[in-house]
Amino acid sequence: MTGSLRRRMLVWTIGAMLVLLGVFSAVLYGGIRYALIRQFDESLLVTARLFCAGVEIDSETAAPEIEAGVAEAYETPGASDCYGLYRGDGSVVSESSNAAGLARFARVVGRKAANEGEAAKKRAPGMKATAGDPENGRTETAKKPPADGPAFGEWTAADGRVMRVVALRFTARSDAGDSRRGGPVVTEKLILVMARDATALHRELGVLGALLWGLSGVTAAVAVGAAAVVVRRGLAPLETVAGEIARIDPDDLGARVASAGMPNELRVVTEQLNALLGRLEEAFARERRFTADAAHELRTPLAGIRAAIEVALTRPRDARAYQTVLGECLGIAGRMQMLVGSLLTLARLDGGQRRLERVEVRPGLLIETWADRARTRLEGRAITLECDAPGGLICRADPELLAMALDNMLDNAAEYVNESGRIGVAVRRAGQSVEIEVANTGSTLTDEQVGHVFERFWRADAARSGDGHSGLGLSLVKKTVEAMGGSVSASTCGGGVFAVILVLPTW
Amino acid sequence: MRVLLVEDYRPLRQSLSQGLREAGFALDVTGDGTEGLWYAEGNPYDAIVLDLMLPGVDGLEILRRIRGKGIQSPVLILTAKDTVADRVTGLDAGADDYLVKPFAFEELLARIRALVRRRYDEKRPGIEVGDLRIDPAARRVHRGDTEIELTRREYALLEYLAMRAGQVVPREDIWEHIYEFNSVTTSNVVDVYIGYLRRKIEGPGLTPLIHTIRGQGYMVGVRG
Repeated sequence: MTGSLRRRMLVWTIGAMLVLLGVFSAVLYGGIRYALIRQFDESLLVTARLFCAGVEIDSETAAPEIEAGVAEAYETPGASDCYGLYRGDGSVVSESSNAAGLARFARVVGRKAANEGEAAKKRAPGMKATAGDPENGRTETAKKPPADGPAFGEWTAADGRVMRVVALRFTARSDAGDSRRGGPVVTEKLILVMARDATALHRELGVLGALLWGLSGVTAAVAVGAAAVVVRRGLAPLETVAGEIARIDPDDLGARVASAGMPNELRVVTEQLNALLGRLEEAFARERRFTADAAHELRTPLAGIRAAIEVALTRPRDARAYQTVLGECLGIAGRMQMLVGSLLTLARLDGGQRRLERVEVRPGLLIETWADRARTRLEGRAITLECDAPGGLICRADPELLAMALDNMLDNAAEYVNESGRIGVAVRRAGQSVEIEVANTGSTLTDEQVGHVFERFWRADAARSGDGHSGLGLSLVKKTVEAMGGSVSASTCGGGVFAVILVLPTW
Repeated sequence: MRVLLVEDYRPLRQSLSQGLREAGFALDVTGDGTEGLWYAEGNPYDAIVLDLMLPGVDGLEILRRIRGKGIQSPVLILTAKDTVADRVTGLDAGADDYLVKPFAFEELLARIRALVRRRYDEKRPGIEVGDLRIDPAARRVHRGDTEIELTRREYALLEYLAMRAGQVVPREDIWEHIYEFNSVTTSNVVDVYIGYLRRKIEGPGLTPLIHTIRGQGYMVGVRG
C-alpha cells in the first residue's frame, strides 16, 4: 500500500464505511427482531397463562380438566394457535388436533425441572430457593426462566407452519368450590406447551431484513462514489502542485510554486519548497558568478599572451623584440599560474578534499619568510614593515594553510599600502586563541566596501583585473582560516588604516 | 585611419598598440576610462576599441555618453565578459561589434577594417578610383597593373582620401585621420605628403586622381 495515496485513502475510507454500515445494519436488524419476537412471545405467554387458569384438578378423579370452551377454541378451522397439556412425566393430558410433536417441548421442560430439583436437593438444604416454586427450589431452564417460568422456542408444525412455542410448568389445583365442600385440595404439576403461528412475524422480519440490506447496499454504493469524488477533489491541489513543480526549469530557478489558495497542509509544503528553491537559486547564482568571474580573470591574461605572441609574429623582428615578448608572456603565465593555484585551493577547500594537518607552527617565522621575499618590493616604495611577533609564540595549525593565509594577508597589505606607508603585523595570544593582525596605511575603503573584502573576485575598483591582483587573496585567507576552525575579520579606522585580524584556536 | 584603444590590462594594451600601429592605424591609447572618454569626445575616430571594465568611467558608460553626444565613431567592445546578456547590453548601448577575449589579433584587425568600411558607407573590401586599386587588408596599391610602393604615411593618406573619393576633404580632416593625438605636426605636412603621393601615382600619361580644391582641401576622383 505504498503506491498511490489516493488509492490508499479510498480503500481505507470505503473499508471503514462498509464495516460501519454492516455493523449498524446488523445491530439494527438484531434489535428489531429481538423486540418483535419478544412482543410476540409475551402475547403468546399471556394466552398460555389464561389457558393455565382454565385448568383444574377434579378432586374426585384427581384428573386435570380443562374448563369448558377453552380447548374448543383451538379446534376452529384456521386457528393460528395450538396447545398441548402434559403431565410432569410428559404424558399427554390434552392436545389440540394439530399439536402433534409439541410433546417434546414438555419432555424437555419436565426433564430440566427434574434435574434441577435433584441438583437443588444435593446443594445445602438451607440454600433452598427464595424465588420460584418452593418445592423445586430456584431452577432455570435453558432460557433462564425459573423452572416453572416459561421457556420459548421455535417449532415447525406438521403442516409446515413456523410457530413460536412457549412451554410452562404450572400447578393445577382442585377448584375452590370442591375445597369448600370439604374435599381434599389436590394439586398437580402440569406442563402447558402453546404454539402460535409466526409466519407473519417471520415474513415481516424478512421484509425488514431485505429493506435494511438493500438500503445498506445502496448507501455503500453511493458512499464509494462519494468517497472517490471527495478523495479526488481533496488530492487535486496535490496534482496541481506536482504539475507546477514539474514545470520548474532547472536552468531558471527563479520560478516559485504558487501557494495562494492551497490547503494549509499543502501550503506548508509549497512554502518550504519555495524556500528551498530560493536557497538553491542563490547557491547556483553564487556558483555561476564565481565561474563567470574565474573565466573573466583567466581570459584577460590569456588574451594578453595571445595578442603578444600574434603581434610578435606579424613580421620578422630582432632577437631583443622576441625576448621582450617572451619575458612579457612568462610574467603573464606566472600570474595565471598563481590565479589557477588560488582557484584550485579554493575549490579543494570548498569540496572538503584537503586533509588538515596539526603541527606546531611559529607565525613569527612565517612572517619573516614573507618579509625576506618582499624586501625589494617594499624598499623600492619606501614602505616600513613593523613586526611585533614574539619568535617563541607557537600555535598548532596546518602549516601550509597558515602560510597561505599569512602570505595573502601580507600581499594584500603590500598591494594597497601607500607610497612611504606602513605595514604593521602583530601576533599575540588572546586566551585560548592566537590573534594575528595585519594592517596597512593608505586604504581608501569605505565601511560599506570593507564588508565585501572577503568576497571572491571583489575589488574596490572593479577594473583592476589582470594585473596580477586577482581579487581572491582575502577570500583565500577567509577560506583557509575557516578550514582551520578560526575566524577572520576586517576593519578600517581613521587615517586610512585597513586591518585584517585572524583568530586561530590553539589546540 | 585613426583608432582609439581603451584597455586597462597593460600587457594587452602594449601588444595591441604595437600591433595596430604596425598595421597602419594612427592610434591613441589609454588604460583609463576618464581619459578614454575625453579622447573619444574630442577626436573623430574611425574606430574605437573599448574594454568594458575600466578604472574611472567604465566602458558602457563611455559608450552611452559618446552616443548621447551624437558621436558616430564605430565602437568595438573588447572584453572577457562573454554571456549573451553582456553582448546584448553592449550592443544595445550603441556598440557596433563585440569581441570576446581571448581573440585572434587577425580577427580584431579584420573587424576594425570592416567597421571603417561601414563608417564610409563602403561595402566592398577593396577601394577603386578609376584604375587605382587599394587593398586595405594587404595594404597594397595598384595603378593599372603596376604595384605602387608607398610609405606608411603615404598609404594612410591615400586610403583616407580614396575612402572619401568624390568629396572635397579639408586639410584638417586629413590631418585628424592620419595622425595620432601626440604627433608634433600641423596640417601643413599634409601638403607635403600630397606632393609625394602625386609623384608616385600620377606618372606621365596617367589621369590625374588627386585634385587640389583651392581654399578648401583635396579631392580624389576621376574628373569628368
